[in-house]
Amino acid sequence: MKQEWRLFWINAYVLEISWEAGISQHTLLKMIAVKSSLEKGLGADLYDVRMGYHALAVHFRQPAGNRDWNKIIQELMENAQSDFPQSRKRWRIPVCYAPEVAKDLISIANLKGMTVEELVQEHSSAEYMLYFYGFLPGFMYLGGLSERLHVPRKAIPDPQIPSGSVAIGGMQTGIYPMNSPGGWHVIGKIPFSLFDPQTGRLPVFRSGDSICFMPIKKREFDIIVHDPVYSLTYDII
Amino acid sequence: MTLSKNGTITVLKPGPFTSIQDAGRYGYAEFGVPSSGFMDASTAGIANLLLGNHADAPCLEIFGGGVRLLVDTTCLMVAAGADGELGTSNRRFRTHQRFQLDAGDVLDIYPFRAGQWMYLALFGDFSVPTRFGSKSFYYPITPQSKLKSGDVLNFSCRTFAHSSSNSQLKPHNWSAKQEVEVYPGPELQILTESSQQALFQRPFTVSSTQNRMGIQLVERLENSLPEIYSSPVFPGTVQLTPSGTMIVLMRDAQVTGGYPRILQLTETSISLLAQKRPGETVTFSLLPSLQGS
Repeated sequence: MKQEWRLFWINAYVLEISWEAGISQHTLLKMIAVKSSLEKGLGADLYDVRMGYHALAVHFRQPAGNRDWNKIIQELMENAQSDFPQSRKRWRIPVCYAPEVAKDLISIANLKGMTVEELVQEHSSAEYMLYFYGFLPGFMYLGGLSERLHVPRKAIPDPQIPSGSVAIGGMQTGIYPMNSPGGWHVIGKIPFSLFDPQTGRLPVFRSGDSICFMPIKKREFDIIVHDPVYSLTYDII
Repeated sequence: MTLSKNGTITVLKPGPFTSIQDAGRYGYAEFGVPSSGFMDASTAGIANLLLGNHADAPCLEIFGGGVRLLVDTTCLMVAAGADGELGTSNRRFRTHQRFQLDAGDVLDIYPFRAGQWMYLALFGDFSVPTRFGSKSFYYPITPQSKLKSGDVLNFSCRTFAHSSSNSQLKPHNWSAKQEVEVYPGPELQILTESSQQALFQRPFTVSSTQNRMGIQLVERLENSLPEIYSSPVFPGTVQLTPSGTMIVLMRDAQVTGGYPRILQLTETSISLLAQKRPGETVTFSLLPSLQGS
């Protein structure tokens, strides 16, 4: 069988493992399995394993080129496949889709020839998969946006998109974890902070988890905003 | 015996970009947290070692100069990096040499003559919060990205000077060196032959479009590469944008990127490039491939 991955040393400390270019859940699940076996087997030797759509970068604490990584990774792959499936979570996140908190909601509905209700239905009925974090600390790259909602990014990015904004751009959707410039179109807002670095706590979502958006009314949004205690719910998939 | 005292540094003039940095924040990239850390780690390490600190200890990282600081406690310091003058109202200090400040001293760091980054190491510790394993400023992981006028930094300072065996350390010679050592990036080989040749045959000029996230180079490369699916990137990764402009990612760079990754600078070369001013040129020198099989 032809080996479906390749190894590439970025420098003496970073080994990239890549699969066929593309965005696919199949590749993602393989990468997650390999990542978790790498962390299990080599945890103390690694800073971390960062992910893209079809590449993992294994960041070693010391130069690591003197071992037969082809063989090691090959073995990991075989074990990873028998380890799988591991537990993944399906999270439900409340989102208020209202023009008062989502400045591009109406313009995007118009652009797409949909009513706001149709757009909300289209966006909130899908189940999204967390591929990886990037762009900003805590920013999740979520795949699974309905083709009907694919939309080019803004030609000129917004100087400030508010924290908690749910936005769409290209073939993706995401939530801005903090105030930031950004080129995506804001269609909703969540009523709490997903990642507050000052607490020292990391985000709860992991690559491979599913995210579902639950539409809430502006009134419910306001209640949650003023009640800082909100527990996210999930089930195991 | 080493005594420890607590003191403060009050920022009277912050300069264009002064922050606390250390060796960086490792292990959180999978959550999108950049590594941050010293722009010129070689120099910062020397500043620390000259005091007998660990090379990775936090320093004040100063861009450009034009900084004025007030200390309220006797402390030992070393400045290293950019070529510039520093001193109090009645004393001048040289870079790469230990100096002592006394309570009430105002330290001026004048605009640099050459280079971009200066490190002020302290014989002691800066008492700023550690976030995810590092004291390096990076907003929003830390509350601010740089110091502003009126900010007060707490520190604990060791007061017993010991003779340091590191006192003969020589600063790395970034001003004379133009050669930036690189490894091939994962997408280098899909560039056309002529673009690859251009990459290693001509000098490239550092542009003024730069910050702690990245440094753009002036000359463009003929580029017909498509964008790639977002892939891991690191400080030192050279990205080729659709316009043909190259961006060298620096310490605060995001953890993934969608532009082809054509080169990867060595750690030493990241430090070297950081000190190059807009208008100065560098050449890329390709290291032997690391790919074993």
